[in-house]
Amino acid sequence: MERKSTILDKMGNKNPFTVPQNYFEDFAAEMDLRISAKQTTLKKLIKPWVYMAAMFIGLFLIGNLFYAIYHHNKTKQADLYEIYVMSQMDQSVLFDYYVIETSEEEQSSE
Amino acid sequence: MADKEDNDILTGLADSKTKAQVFSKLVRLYQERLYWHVRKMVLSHEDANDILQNTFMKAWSGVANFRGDALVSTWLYRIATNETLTFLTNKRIRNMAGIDDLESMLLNQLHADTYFSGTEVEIKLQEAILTLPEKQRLVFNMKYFDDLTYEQMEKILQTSVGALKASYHHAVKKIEKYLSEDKLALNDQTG
Repeated sequence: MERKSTILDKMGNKNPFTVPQNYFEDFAAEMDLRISAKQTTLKKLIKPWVYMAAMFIGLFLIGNLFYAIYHHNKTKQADLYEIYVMSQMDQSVLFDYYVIETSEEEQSSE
Repeated sequence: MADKEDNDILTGLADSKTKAQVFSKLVRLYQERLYWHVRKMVLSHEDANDILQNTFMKAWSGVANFRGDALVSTWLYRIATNETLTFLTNKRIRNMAGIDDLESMLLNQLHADTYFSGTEVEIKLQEAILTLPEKQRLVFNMKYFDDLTYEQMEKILQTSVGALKASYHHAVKKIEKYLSEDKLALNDQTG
């Protein structure tokens, strides 16, 4: 399929175009600069978001910690209160308390 | 390029620590052939320079998506070819209201270009090449000037070898006809 051309063969395939002096050296150096600038820009763009995300994660963890401590203390206080109340009651008071509470519940359900 | 060299490049590009350094090597390795590939299509040095910069910036941005399913050279040639064809399409659209068509405009630019050292016959050859449709021009330049094989061209242009051979054959025929009608070329041929 490939066709030989006498005219083209005689002309040869010499490249008639030229470039400015040191063009390729300068081009490669220019590309290095553009890539490093792009990398820096990307880092600059990402950095504030990373910091902000880290700040929110930090706040969330600290909040969680405080809540856990608060919840733990509250439960502990309630346990202590129950132990105190129980210590102030003898068996007959306790029995009365349950009887009254059960009859109140029955009345309200009726 | 050997497969091992390609693998080394891919490994280097995948590592964020070596990415910029390997890419810099890649630019130095391919800039010249890509430049000439683009330059022969757009003719002007300034346009070729812009397209080459865009090509490498696109390659840099697309490194993560390049999985090595083609050779690095094929991948870069494809980007450069797409960038060139997009540039020519945009230039054609911008020039629609103008008196001259794109090919005449490119030819005028060539006559005024400081970075063209061609003889009158070589200008005639460029004129003849400009009469071809863009894709045929690509095929002709890649085969005639860059000596690429049809197999390499098949991978870059994603066109079958048969279609490429037919396209080159038609291109040569048209150029030969154009040049044989021109006295200057014929004189040079006989002289």
